[in-house]
Amino acid sequence: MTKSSISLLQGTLDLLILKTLAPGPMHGWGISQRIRQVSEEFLRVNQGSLYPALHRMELKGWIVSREGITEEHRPVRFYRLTATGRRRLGEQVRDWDHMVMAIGNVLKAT
Amino acid sequence: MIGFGVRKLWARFSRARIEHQMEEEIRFHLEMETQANQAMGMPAGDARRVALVDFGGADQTRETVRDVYATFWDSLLQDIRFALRMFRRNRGFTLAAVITLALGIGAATCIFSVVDATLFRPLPYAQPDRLVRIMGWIPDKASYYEGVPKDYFAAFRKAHSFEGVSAYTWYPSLPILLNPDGAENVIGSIVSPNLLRTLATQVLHGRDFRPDEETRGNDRVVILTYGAWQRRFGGDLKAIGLNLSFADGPRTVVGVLPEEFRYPSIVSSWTPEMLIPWAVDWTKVPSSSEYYLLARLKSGIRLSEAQAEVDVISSRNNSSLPQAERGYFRLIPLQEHLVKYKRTDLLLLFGAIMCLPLIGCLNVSNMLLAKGLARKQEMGIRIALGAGRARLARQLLTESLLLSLAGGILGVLLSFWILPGLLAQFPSTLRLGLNDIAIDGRVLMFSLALTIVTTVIHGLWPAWSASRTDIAGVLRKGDSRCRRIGAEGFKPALLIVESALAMVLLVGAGLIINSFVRLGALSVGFRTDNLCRVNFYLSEKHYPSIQSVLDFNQNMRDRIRAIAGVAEVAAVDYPPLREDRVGGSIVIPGHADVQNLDLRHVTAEYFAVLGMPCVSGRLFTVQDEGSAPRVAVINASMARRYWPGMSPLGQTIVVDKKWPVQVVGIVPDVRERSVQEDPRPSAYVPVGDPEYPKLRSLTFVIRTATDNPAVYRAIADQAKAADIRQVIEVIKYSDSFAFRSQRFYAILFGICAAFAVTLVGIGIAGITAYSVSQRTFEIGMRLALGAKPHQVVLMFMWRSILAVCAGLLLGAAAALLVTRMLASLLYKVTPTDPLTIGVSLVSFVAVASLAAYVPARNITHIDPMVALRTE
Repeated sequence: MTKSSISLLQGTLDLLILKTLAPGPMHGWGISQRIRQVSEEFLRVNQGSLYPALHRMELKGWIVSREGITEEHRPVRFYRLTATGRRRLGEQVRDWDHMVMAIGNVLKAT
Repeated sequence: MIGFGVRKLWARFSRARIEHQMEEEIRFHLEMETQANQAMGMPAGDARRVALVDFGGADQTRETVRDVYATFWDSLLQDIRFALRMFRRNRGFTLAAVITLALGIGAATCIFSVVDATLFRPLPYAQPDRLVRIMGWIPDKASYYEGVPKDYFAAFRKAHSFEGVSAYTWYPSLPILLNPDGAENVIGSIVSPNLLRTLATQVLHGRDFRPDEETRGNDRVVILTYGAWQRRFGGDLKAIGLNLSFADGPRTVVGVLPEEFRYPSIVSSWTPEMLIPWAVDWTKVPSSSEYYLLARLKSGIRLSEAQAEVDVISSRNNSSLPQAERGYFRLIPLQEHLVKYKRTDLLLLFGAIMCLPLIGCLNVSNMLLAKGLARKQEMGIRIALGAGRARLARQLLTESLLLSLAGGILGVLLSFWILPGLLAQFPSTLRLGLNDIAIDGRVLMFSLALTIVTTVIHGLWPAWSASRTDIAGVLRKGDSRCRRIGAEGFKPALLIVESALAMVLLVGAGLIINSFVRLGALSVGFRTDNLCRVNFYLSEKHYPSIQSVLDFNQNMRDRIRAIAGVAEVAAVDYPPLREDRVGGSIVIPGHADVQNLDLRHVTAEYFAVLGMPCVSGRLFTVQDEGSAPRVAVINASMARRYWPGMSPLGQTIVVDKKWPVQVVGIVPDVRERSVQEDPRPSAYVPVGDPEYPKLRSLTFVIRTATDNPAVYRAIADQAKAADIRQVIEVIKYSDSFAFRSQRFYAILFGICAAFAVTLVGIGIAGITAYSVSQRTFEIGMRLALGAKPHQVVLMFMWRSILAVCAGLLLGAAAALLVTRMLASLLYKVTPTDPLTIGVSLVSFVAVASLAAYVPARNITHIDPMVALRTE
């Protein structure tokens, strides 16, 4: 996150994480890296937000975590979407699209 | 949603594991980030540093993750731990607060237990709201009387509205039990055999009375109360069927009552030991004034319907009776009847006592607000570090709750300790109700509710105030020194309200005490020092002939008079200052209606014994005591009422509907019925009518030369010598004064007001002491700049004194409105008595000034140099 977007909604971070996990399981560092890459360095997730978000989403049952091994044979925790999480992802994407359209309409109005 | 809760709960148990995992993750993340940085070409040291910066604070991350898992209980526990730490650091403050709250809650709990048992809790019978008293009613005077003549009683028993109608004595009878080692009065109650059924009570052992036990001959049975059964027979079941020897014949024990049974009368402080069936002699009118009537309404019948039926029955009976003998009756629910005269007084007492926890709350609130000012820095930092304002408020409320809980527990313990002492102070003649007064579940629930309410009352303002902390202003360094001069933290408004409340209490108590003092100064009109009385009962069995009764009475007179130390002795049917029905019917020439006035049958020495002089005419001599009264003495009220402006001497009146007597003398009015009741017109006739039933139970009033216990013993011995079966109790007149209940209320209200004023004083003292200690620097500066010590002292005092004065005026105004509710407790003192209000004002101001002065006095000891160096 850029420093000016400290106030970015928690829900948006959740959305990004869910989407990142959609293709397959990933560990925490990997998630933050992926978001950086895909957003071309624009969105840098503050780790102080990432891990709490991951734990929160796990409590809510959207993701589950499991011990795994990286390619370098390092043990690390992997996170994976659940069925509920996948459903939630769909809902949140729809909501996001709606919001973007609505804001766009307002901005386009004269 | 449920899953969320479950997962959170599960996480609580795997705390350590989660922490460990998080450490691992953070470490892994940092390593990867460092590697990535190095891969991009950063030197090793920089790589790590940048990684750390990017990570954004591992500790904070850990905290935030922990917060994710934090349950409500975790934050609560944290609050509690923090609160306890705060209390430990400020022991004095905590102690003062807890004690203040404990006093209020403890006092309220005590009085609530009394009020609950008396007024709120239902009577200890099944469906108690169905029980009603049937009372006589005099429409012209709109007054009640007890007792129901037999014709009406018989008719009411057949009424459709009632499931059962029973009679029972209100004043315990004292049947005499003959034990091997002497006679003993037992406290028994004579009741209709169906009383237990009307009360819906089952016997514990044995059987209830049978309906046929209402007739003489079949009534030789008793039912014991549980207490009597335990005391006399050790709870042995073999007691059932046992024969007891009474002075009037043997009776068989047929049943035992359960322990929870309560006899439905509270007139005397005695509880009966046994129930005796009332053998009604339907040929004679029962001695009506001694029997109360109780009925149980059939289910579904409303009181108004039953009343209507009673009216119909009475009018049917009345149709054949002359106007003067007609009876009218009213139904009153039993509970209402039992509490009738006490409800207002007790509720007033309760209201007054509840002011104590309220004042305590206001004190503690002020203390917390003052302390809050000192903690502003701490609050500011916490807010800056991310604590929500709601969380801060919750923290403070937790502190308040802990204070209240500690105060509440201590208060309840206090009340357990105080209550027995309080009940012992109760005049034994003022039995409050049928329920036992104890601190039971209901009372504890009340204490708990009170504790929670006190938390809200005293905690709300400090919590709200703390959450509104302005961070910037607080974190500025040096703020504590340059605090706005005069900003104290405590709110004068609270002090004003406290003082107003305490003032109302003080005025109320002052009025009651004033009234009590006046009562004490009342003269009853006759000399009560060295006066005693002893009562005899001569049963028909042992004194079958009237002559034997007359002989006994004469014998006793002579014996008692012969005792050294006895000045004079007289006999009377209704001795003074007992709550007796002394009404007799008197026909006065010129007045068509029969007058129901106080009428006493006395021996000649009665007036001498009581010290009543002769105002005009003459008093009785021994010759007047014949077989038929021919003369009468009347009191001044009666003379004034019926013969205004002329002398009643020589006039003839008819007493007891048969004796024409001539008025020969007038005596002054005395308060013979009770101390508070103004004297009523009364007449006295000499004793001697052989058919007068009360001859069998005369009371001898005796004036002794001094208050010497040996003389009382001698009197008892003489009585025993005359008749071994008599049960003798010599009662001194100083023991039986009737206004014990006023004294009780005076003491209680007085203590309540004293506590209230003390609490306010403590509050003022605490606040003043605290502000002096907080503003030591400012004081030093003022002194150094040339202010005189006493000027600074005054400066610290005037704010609280001003608040107190405002409160006092407010309270005095409120008192003027409120104290009219006390009218029932006051005797010849107006509710707006200016003397009482003035005295209260002055004494309160004095107390408040003292309370503010004592801590402020320390200012004079402050060395400016030392003060300026403190922070």
